Amino acid sequence: MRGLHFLVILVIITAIDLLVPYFFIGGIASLGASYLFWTVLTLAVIVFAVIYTSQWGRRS
Amino acid sequence: MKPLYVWIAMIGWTVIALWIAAAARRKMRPGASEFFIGGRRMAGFVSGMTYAATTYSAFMLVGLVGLTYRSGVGALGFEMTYLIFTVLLLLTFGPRFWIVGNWYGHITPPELLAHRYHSQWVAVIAAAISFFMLIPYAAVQLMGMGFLVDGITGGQIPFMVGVLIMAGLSGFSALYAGMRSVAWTDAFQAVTMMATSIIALLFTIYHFFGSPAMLAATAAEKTPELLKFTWSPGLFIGLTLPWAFFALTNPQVSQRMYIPDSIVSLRRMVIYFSVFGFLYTIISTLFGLEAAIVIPGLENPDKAMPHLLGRVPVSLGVILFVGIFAAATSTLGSIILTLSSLFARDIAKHFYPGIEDNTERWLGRVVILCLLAACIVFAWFQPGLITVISSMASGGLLVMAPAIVGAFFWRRATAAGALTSMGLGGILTAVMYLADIYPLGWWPSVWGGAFTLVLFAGVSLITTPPEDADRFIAAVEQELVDWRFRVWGAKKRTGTPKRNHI
Repeated sequence: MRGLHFLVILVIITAIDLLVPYFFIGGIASLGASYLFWTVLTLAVIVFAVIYTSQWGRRS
Repeated sequence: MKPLYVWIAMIGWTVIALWIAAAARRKMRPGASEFFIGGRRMAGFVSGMTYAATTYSAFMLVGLVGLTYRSGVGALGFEMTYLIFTVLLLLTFGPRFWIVGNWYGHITPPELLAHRYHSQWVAVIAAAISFFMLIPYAAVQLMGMGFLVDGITGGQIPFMVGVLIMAGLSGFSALYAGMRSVAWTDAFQAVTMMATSIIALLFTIYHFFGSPAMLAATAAEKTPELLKFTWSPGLFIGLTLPWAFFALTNPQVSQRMYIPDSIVSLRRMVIYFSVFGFLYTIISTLFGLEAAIVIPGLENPDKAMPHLLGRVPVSLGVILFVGIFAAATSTLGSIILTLSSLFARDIAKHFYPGIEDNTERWLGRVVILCLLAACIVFAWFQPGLITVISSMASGGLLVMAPAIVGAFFWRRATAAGALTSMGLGGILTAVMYLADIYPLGWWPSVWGGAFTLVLFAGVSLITTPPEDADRFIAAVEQELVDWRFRVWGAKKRTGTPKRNHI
């Protein structure tokens, strides 16, 4: 991954990772709130990794 | 739990681990590379599992369970944020470490820095910081084991007996056949960790609550505060920041970016590790919530898991105990092996450049024994909470992040910038942690990290970068394009690559 792409993705995901729990769902007393949010966000990043790496090693 | 069961579990598991180590030794070839990184001949599954078993330690089923028990869902956020960063760092830096390691035969991460910055002192300082910060972290693994055996046997097997047994097993695995032995036993340990914890989680959910839905409902009713995110920004960022860059700054994991035998194996390592980490984090935090409901009011949250083990049938308790034993042992073995390679390659070789491969291996073995002794002494004093100690270690190692990132992405980065930022940043962070200084409520890792970054950039700008910095970065980027590691923004290359030995 290029450095700039890495930085942009990192900033966007970090912002989502922090802002959503702190400002929107952190006060909800349910496993369906912050717990589910971080679980889904991480799963999305792993799916992205699977897709992103699918081309690795296929020489251009 | 009766001590007899714990002894049977530890001895049975040890016999299997020793058998694996012996099998690994039969495959071992001569040379330092073979001993310290398995000769870069590790398949994807073993690479992924050793990465996972090295990363995920007794901290998960002891420390993270305790953190969830005490402070709720923030513990999951902290650990998942770490995992997100690690996946992205592996996508970005995994191929770069792997390519450069193959090109130049690097065995330790500091060797890469020394090569890029043309300064062996950069490697010496990086290795010294790693030693200073990782010995407490390794000792934490021993402490986790000590707490566990002491807790589940009601003190009939004392803390230090658990510490010594684990130290002996980890040391033997690393001494006997180096990385190959450690990686193979790690793979077995990782599978054990995952299988035992899933079985135990399912049992405890159905045993205590009846179903997963009832666990969620009971948690909302009895421990609603734990389901709310109540961490202050200072605590969350202070704990998370050093862990977020763990994949780059902790040599015992960054060294594993060298070991896959092919690009396919490198990809599998990233994916297997990611899935493992995701599942293991969910499992650990659910144990914490269960413990908070079933056994509320514990003074020491690190003892939540041992107490939970005391509430389940003996057979299940033994299964889960084996999983935690595996987690702690694998992490400790990996850390001491990596530190021994840092000493042999980055420190001893700097002062005695003529050291031969066999001497390096011998030196590595001596260092492993010394490190184990140091860890045992540290564990004997039982300092602080496990979570805080682990984060302190990573907080100190964070000072290496700018120099590592700069090596691949900033042509102006210099050896002087790397040396001053790591040296002074490391001293500042360590002093702040030891003196318990938290200016404006922010953790030492945040201040130390910011100071290091500014220092690295400032000193680099006023000093002269190595002449070949441009060529180094350009060659790596071109190789990434050639092998399609970079999917976006890749300009198709004309001509043939300069190096074909990957």
